[in-house]
Amino acid sequence: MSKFVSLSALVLILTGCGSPDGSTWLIKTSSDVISVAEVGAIWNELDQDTKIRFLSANNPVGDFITALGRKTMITTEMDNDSCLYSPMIQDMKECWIINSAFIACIDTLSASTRRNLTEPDLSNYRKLLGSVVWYSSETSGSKGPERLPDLPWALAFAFDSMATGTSVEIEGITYTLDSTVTSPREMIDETIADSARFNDFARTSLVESRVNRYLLSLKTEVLDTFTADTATVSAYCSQRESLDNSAELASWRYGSINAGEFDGIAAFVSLGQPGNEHSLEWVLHSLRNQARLTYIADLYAAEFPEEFSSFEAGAEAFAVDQASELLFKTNVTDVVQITDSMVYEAYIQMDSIPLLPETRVFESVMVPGNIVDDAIVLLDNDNALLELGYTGYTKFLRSGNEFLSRAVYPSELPYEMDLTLFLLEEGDTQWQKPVETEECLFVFYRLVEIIPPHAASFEQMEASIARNLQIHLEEQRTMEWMCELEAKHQFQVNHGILSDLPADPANWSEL
Amino acid sequence: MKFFALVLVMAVAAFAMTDAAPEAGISQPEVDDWMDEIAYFDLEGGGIPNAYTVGCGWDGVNFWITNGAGQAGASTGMFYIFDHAGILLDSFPQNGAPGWGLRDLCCDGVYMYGSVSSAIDYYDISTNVKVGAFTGPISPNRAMAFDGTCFYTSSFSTDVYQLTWDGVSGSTAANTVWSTAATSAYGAAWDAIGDCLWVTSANSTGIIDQIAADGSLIEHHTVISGATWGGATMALTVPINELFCLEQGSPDCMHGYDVTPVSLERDTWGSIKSLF
Repeated sequence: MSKFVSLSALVLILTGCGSPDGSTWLIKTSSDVISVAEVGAIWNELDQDTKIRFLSANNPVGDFITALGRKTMITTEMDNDSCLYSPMIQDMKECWIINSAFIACIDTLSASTRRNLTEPDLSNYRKLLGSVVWYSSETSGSKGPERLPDLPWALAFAFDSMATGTSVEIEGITYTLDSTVTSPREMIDETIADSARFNDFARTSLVESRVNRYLLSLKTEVLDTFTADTATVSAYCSQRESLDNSAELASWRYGSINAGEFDGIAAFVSLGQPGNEHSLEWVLHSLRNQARLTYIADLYAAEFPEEFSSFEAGAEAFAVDQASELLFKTNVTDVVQITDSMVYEAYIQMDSIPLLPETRVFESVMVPGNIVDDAIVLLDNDNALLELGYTGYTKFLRSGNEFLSRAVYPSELPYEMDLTLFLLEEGDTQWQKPVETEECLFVFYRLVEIIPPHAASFEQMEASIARNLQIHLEEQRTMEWMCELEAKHQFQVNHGILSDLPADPANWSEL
Repeated sequence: MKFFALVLVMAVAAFAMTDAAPEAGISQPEVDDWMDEIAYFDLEGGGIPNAYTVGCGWDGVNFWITNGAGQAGASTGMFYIFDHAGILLDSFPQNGAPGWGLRDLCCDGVYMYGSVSSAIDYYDISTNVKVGAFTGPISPNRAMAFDGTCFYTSSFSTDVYQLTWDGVSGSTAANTVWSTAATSAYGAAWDAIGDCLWVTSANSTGIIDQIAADGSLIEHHTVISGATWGGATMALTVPINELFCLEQGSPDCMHGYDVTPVSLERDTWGSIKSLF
């Protein structure tokens, strides 16, 4: 610890009188040497937010050098620990590449479709605007409603001149027009009259419908051969720990996904949206979707190999970021364990117990807009509102109680309710006029209890103490971990040259 | 430990000098794993002057947030434009949308669509001007999503409608009941990467429904217990697929994924991570 403290307390006063050579080492570990010029170059490549982060500290240059040295050790740790190359991180990296390729594929298709649009396309769209059709064919069954001008031109113009219930053969397939709806002519003419906006809309509509049609055909192609092993997927959902990583969950003509790979897919998907690995439906959907994305990404890779390989750098940076978070979790977050006795100990050791402001308890009933008028007439009828069959204001309900709130502060309450509730006198238990807290949801409420300012009880402080204790101990553990790494990697800073360097590290790269 | 106790006392004392609610003694909502990763920005603290914010859409660069300023006495609702980091960039009135104003929004790359009645208004995203409207199946068409070909809408029932609009201003969109798997819908977002529709619930359950492209339910996700959701939108800026949901809460806020790791907020580790 003392070694760390001496390092972190280091005040680097840089006077800039007589500069060392740029190739002089500034940071050294058992596996890396970083020169003054290299440190300067790294500083110059930082984004503005990161620079400001360091510049706003008391010792910007010292903090930057220390953090850079630690990053170097963490990077070595990630390689040595095989954390970066663990199957989970590598599978997440693969997902990153697949998503990138999928997005690039859509962008490329959209750009080329837009580029290939012709004046006749816009003219055709103009002629067919205003109609929506339902149709059927032997190959695709019933379809619609679809915009008529979004269909392939041969089919669209055929439908435009047909009566409903009649059929036409296009490229060997028989299509029947089941129904059609057309907007009034004057409305169509008015829309077309704004030619700039109409052209914009028509171009976007044609591009999106053509790209979507193509993507749907690819999805159909891959899902036609897709098979999930439902028993194995069920086992994955309910007993993941007893399932081998190599157990195959799903396969299709061009690939397969096993349990270990799906761990990475699920972790990646859950970065941006809710997920549930215990839900059979969610896992099956995610498997099918991953097959679709993978297939389209593979097609893109085959068509645009150079663009595809350019995703590697971004994917590597993503993997490093994820691996470093995993390393931090293993070495810090999982190590820090807060117990009830630690939290209580912190509470009783407080020099003074904080005074909490006044809170109030209220009773409420939350009713939908369509019965609010009926409820208002019950305002003077003591308990009648409670018997309407609705519960209280959900957000503030006391645990296990239908109507009674927990103690609330005024700033927690919605507009109007805060003022009214906190102006009421003790003993005024009249129901108050309702507040529309969310659209079409009205809260009727009345005061139950005023809790004056008081010293916080342990129960009131517990969550706050535990949260602060966790942050404090994580910081402490991070410092210990850095000390362990400094010893392990023989971390050194070339203190002797610091006072001879220019004050601004932006100038070091030129030395 | 004495040091920690001192810090804690100072933190609590600081609360008393601000208008912020003290955290001590206030129960926190339950959260799932997704919420551990979220970006969060406070729309009221970020510049919206009242608590009537309801919907959101993504124009490819920025969020459009709808606010029912009419509920607060104004003659029309408002649009507020926020960037991806939650910085307020601009605001302008909705075109005479009273009360709660336009609800949830969706975008097709040319127009932003939203509804205050059975009409679905559309605004040019390059000029912010209302261009026209077409009629949808419900009033208002609260939840709005667009998959590149069709619109989806729903409201405080379970039915989700799929709409095909012919592109003519003033026309009525053809519609079918596409799914009955939603839970009291307020917002919706089509997820092109996930090949599904996300539907947020306004019934104080905190549910977000995930519905497959064939209309079948994939999963009811309970994200924040007791929360009342407003609109929803995808906001794709990186290969990670981002779902953002507006919470009609205290305060109104946006929840979503943020590429900036939470760990950056930690002192020592944050300094190191900022260099990766």
